[in-house]
Amino acid sequence: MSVIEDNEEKDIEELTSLSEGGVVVNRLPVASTSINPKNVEYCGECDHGYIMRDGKKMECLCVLKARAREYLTPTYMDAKYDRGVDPSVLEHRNILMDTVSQPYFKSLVKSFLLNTGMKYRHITVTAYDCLQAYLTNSETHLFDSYGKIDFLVLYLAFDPRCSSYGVITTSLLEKRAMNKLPTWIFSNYSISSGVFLEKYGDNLSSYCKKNFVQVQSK
Amino acid sequence: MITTIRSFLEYPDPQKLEALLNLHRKVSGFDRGISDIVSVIEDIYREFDTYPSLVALGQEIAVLNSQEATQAFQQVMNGVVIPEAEYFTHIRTVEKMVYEQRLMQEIMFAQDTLAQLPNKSVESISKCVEDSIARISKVKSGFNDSDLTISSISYGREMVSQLEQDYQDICRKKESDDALYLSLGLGGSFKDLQLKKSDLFVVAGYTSHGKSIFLKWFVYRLLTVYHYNCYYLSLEMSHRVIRNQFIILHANNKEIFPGTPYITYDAYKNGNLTDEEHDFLVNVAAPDFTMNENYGTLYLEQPESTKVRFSDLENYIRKVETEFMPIDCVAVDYLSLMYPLESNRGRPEVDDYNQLIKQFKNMANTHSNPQGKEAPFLAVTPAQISRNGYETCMRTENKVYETSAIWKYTEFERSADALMTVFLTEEERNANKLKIQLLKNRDGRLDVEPMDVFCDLDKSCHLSDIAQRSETETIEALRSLDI
Repeated sequence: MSVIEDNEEKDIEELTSLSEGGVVVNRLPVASTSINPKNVEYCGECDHGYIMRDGKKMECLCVLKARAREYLTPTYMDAKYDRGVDPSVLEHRNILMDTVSQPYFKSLVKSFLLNTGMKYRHITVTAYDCLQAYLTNSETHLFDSYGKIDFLVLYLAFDPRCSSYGVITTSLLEKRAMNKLPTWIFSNYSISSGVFLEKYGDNLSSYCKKNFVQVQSK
Repeated sequence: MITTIRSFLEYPDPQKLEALLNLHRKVSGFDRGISDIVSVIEDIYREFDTYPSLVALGQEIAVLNSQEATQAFQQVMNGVVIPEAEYFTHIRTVEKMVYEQRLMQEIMFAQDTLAQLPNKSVESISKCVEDSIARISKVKSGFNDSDLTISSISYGREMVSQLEQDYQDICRKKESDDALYLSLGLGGSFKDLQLKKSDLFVVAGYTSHGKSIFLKWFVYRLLTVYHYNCYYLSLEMSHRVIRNQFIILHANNKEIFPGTPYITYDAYKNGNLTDEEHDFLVNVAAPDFTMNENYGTLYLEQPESTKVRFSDLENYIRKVETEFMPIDCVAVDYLSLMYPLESNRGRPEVDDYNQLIKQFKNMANTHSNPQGKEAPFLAVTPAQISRNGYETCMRTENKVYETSAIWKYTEFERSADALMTVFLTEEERNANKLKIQLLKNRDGRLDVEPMDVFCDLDKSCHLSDIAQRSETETIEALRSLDI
């Protein structure tokens, strides 16, 4: 199994466990906006997570916070939150981050997701995950779900060597473009570098150059 | 009457038809009596149609008496090895023969009794017909397994081990995160409401006050949150309308589909959906609702008959369980629209409806699946609030209903494990809220104080007692947090 970070692979684990034993599961292993009450630490000022405001019962901020952290998934929950990120600049665009640091990338994703009010269903996958989803399940199930989710982050960093990544990921990106769904790509290497071309192929590199907007660190 | 008899010609058994015609001749002039007998027999044959066909065994069997039936079956089965998967089919086939035998015996018995009557007065013939109806009905109820009981004796080690087994089941469910009890997901006075299979949950309300809306939301919650298979019998609204409302309800569940467009039922039914809304509804929400294996399955039924009896409901449920899926919840929209008498004789009285409610509760509690295992289900039905009850409620400061507000049928109050009311006037409608109140909670604390829940009636009302923040408010709130 591929690794995003050693302790931050819950979603990916869930994804791979879904494909074990050839069982077709058409549930999207995506971040949820609902929350397990066991994960909430109540602030002590609310009544089990609820407050009264203007005669209306409202969700307390402590629950909203817990919900937001669960929504961000362990991958992004501890990244820096930049409240000043203007989401309108990034919304509906394919973004490429191949020259930025990992903390900056995580911070940008987190800030974008929060500053758009947690309205996008999102998932972060590696090229290996895409390949595995493509091979293990039929296209109409898991792999297809990657093509339909609101916001997909393709994390290209520690994939084991395989010559098929380029074809599979490019086909996925084309499919998402057809559905007018944005994809963000983070790469440890510049997409023009030899390492990237060797690992992910020329296909993906040229596709990204044509269709993605590159983001630079401030 | 003749039309009814003719319909029996469809069944290729001249003996049965002859017996019926003889019986008809004997009681000529008592059409009401004979039509009752015929209607009970019709019910049995309707059920027979759903049974496995004998043709499947490669041979038709003419059933004349039980001995011959047994011999015929043995002849058919001779040398045939039944695969384990087909045991059930064969058992049911034999059962079908036995009941057909009993039915024929009762008809013959009625025929002989009538022929031997010393005094052919109206009273004596009527009594004979009544007796025949009672005996044939008994055959029918035996056929539907509705007269079975679940029993145990509190003696010996078995009871102790059963208790331990029940507790282990509870622990297993708890560990596997299966719901032990079902909640409405609402706080306030509804916080302590915990429903379970075998309960009867009644949602009462005045006309057009959102009973069916609440019922649909509740069933939807069972499907998506608790993964229950639900059977929904609609006696008031079109099957097509309800089906579409469920899908729109799902499309508007933004916990599952955040950031997607809201679908209003008005826009749908008037053909005013935008391309984006249409695409989302048809290509995303509807397939997810119908094909996602993480949700329970909904079976919607709208009978063509105007008189749906309790035995019909039993048959519908049995058919669904045999052919499609196990059932966890049965929602009848609504019970008082069913016909409480099994025969066409006489006019239904209030007591008959009360008996129907009691039967429904009893079925929820003692129901067995087609394999004979205990399979209680959660029974849900709306009930009507009387005008008097509504007016009394309107006179109170907080718009509080009394239990006596329920129209006529007092059995709702007695049989229900949980009884709640919904209240929706123009004021509530404009404020996108529904006032709900708990009137009975058998297993928990009862707080009869009404509470407001937020629901957007235009968007198929996803009910919640929590006011929703707008997108801008959510972003502001998130920015204020240390995340």
